[in-house]
Amino acid sequence: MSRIHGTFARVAGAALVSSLLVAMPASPGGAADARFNAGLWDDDLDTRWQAHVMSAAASQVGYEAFEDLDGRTSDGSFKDGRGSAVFGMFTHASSGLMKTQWQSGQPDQWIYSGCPDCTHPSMRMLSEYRPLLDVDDVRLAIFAGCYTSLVPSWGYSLPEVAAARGMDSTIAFPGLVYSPVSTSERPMSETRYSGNYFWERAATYLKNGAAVADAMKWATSDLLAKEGDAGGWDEYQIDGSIASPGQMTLTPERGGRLGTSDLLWDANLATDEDWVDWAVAFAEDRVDFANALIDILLENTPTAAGLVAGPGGSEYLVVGTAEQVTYRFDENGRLVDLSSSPTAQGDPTYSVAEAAEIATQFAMEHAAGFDQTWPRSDRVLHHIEGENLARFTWRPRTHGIPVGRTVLIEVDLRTGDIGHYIDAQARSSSAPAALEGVVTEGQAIKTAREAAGAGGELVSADLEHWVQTRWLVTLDYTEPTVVDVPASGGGTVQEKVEIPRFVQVEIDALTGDVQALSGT
Amino acid sequence: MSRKGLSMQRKRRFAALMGLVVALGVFATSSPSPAAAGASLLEVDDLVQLSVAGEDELRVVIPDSADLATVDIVDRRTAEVIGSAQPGGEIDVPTVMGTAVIDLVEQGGAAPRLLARASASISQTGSNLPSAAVVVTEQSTFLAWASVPSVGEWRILDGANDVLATTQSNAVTLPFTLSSVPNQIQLVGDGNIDEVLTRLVRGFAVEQHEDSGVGTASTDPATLTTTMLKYETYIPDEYADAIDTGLGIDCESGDGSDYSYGGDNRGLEYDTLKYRTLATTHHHWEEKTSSIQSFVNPTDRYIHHDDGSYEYESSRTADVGGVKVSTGPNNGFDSSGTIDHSVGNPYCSDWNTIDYDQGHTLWATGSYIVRGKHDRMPRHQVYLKYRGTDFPPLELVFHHELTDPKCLNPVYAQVYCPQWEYEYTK
Repeated sequence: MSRIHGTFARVAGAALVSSLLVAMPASPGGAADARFNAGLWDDDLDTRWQAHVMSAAASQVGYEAFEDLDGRTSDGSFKDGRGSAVFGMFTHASSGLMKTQWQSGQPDQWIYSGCPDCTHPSMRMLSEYRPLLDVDDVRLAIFAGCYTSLVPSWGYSLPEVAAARGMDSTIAFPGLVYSPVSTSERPMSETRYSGNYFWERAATYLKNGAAVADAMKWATSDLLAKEGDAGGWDEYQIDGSIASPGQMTLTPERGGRLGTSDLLWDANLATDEDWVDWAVAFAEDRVDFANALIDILLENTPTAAGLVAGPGGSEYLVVGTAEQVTYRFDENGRLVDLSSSPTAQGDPTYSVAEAAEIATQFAMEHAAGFDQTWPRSDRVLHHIEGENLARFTWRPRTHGIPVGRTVLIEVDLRTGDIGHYIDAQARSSSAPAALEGVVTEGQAIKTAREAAGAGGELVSADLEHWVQTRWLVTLDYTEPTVVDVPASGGGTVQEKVEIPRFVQVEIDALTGDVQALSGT
Repeated sequence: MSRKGLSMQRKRRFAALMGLVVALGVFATSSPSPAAAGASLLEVDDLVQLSVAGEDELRVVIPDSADLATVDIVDRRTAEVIGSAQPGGEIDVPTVMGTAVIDLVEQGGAAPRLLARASASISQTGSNLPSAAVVVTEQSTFLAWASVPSVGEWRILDGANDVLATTQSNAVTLPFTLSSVPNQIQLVGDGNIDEVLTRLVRGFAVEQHEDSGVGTASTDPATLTTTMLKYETYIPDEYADAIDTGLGIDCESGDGSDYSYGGDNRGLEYDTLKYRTLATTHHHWEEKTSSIQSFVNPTDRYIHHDDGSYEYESSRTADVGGVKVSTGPNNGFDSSGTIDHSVGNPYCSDWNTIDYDQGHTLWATGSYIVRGKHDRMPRHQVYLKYRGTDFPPLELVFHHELTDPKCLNPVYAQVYCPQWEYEYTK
């Protein structure tokens, strides 16, 4: 079978992306550095896999990648950021600060964002980086922790300082984000869920040439399909000093200094004839994709296509179109998700109610079996500064409990276009036959407290079905923490900082066994 | 008792029972004695003689006949001048764990001239590795080692395991090339080469980069900010058969014929997530901190159908507690680490664990000693990642080929594939 290969080009805004693929910053070894810090934290929050997979991905596309999985001194973290092209911290956090290290009997170490005229001899702040000098070569900075995109009462947010100092693209989170809760004896291989799985998937896509915004969308889609819940990671916010930080890629140009990788597109397609030729050749080996190949041509103008590694060893067909929409289909030809680039400027022209109608109509056309009477939750959010999106999430119910499917649609309130569509289905989506015999809510809460420890305040206890019928019990162990933070004009001030510590316990509703613990 | 303790005790007991097999002479070796003081290691005509001065001391002699001015002996690990000698003079060089890595730099000209780089190791008690030395000059690489009983042949290999030379003597001289740097001296047993390969290995990683190579004395020693050692074990195939020893100590299926196990489907790669186990020590020289990590990937079990296809059946993960990693103090200049590894297929008897022990000492100047022993299954790969000025980002220390899955069985291994002992110095 002959496959059409072409040079890498992002369908939407190809010229722009090309301009972003600037020469990599030089380092002594000839390639750029990538540094990732994580740990098994004092409350057993285990973010190590996140840094490990990102480091491996960066290394495989040519960066000199290092990961510190046992925390890092604040000095060390600060230096890591200064010397890197890709920098990631996966840790406990709050607005304006991220924990870099904890040691029993020692004060925790932090990296701070900064504040007006902040100076302190021992505190490390992003604002200490010299503008457009120290971190101007940072292509991507990841602040993977709770509330990292928020502005603290005492200073600036992490992303705004990072952008002001020259970091091209940053990823941060406005709410709680969950990661596995592990123990020192537990192998990381058993913590490939929740946030660890999110970053494992994001690393796969970034390694294969996806833009940051696409990688976040697709990792959200994968985590949602695996677990039925995106653990707060779906609310990622992308910022940065360049015009389109969401279009930043980890990979260099094909044949660039950092070496080549499996880039996203196998084919660039100038005409419908090109598409037909490519699709015919492609379908020879992958008949299951045939319907998707036909549908995409009937409704769109495909301009690029390729295969990406889906979750669980599967393959997804990814198609970019002239309409600047990217589609992904699974091996059964089902549309898994769709994404486009929403607008970032202008007044909204659609109300949330109108957007809901658009989303509902879209779901009815594309999500087989969709029923608009499914319970729906709504919210307004943005992923990139300036976006104005309405998100609608449906989950069907059986016997009164949510069951294994989630349809998520984000609508651009300016244009009415679909910004993101996910049809997530559990691996085994059969609904429970009945709810007889499931453990009671009281039993589930008792089990959760035993697993997570005493003292937590009950937040919620939800019975639902995703692969199996389960209780999700969430407990809040957050205690206000007094932290020395930098003060405007110099010195420090003590602030009562909320470092969120929620624990969610997943319990098999039939056996009462604890399946997993995740926390913030 | 720990899992490893139990495993090792069983192994020893069973090994004792099976000692009869060994006593019958299927395979027998005798260990070399520690090198005697004064024993010559290597002599490079008109340039340098290396010999053992004491149990842990190396003697460097500049021959009378050498047409040289004063020669500085520089410890490459510390970048410090140990002493100077003129032709006819000698200097005793202290070793670290029986090893020394030195530069011979001639003074007196317009600029210091790097004459040679030398590395020597003195055989240690309890080790089967013979004393050995290597001297690299602008034109040639000289290697020599102490004799070992029952040796059929020696092989000299480069870092890619390509054979550069074979010899039955105890020394060899190779032309200098940048593309194939002698890296290993392997002993080939005098039995069937295919069955008993490379039981003893002495390795040398000799730095011969064009821009800092022999002939130019480096005045500013390169220093690192970070060194990371990664030790991976991996199965190169996509699927691996169960161990089937016939000794009743194999996998759950009884005879191993029902299942296959997922391998890592890779070759020599770096920073991949495809491994059975990974142990790391990470040393930050500026901050004088070191940290450790250990990883065990799940083992997937497959039903191997008659038509050749594989059907996923289940997955288990071995206890990561079988990988014990520790580091010594980091003074910003040198640090050390040890790895004690006993992890096996979680579907199989813990008789058949992958066992290895390794110790390493690393310097901020980029020098290292890496030594240990490992089972000859699966592949073992150790590499160093550097961050610092004028350093390559990555250096392969070794990549040892597997012999046979049965080598995980201690009884089989004792007879056919004893643990691979190695030492690499730079």
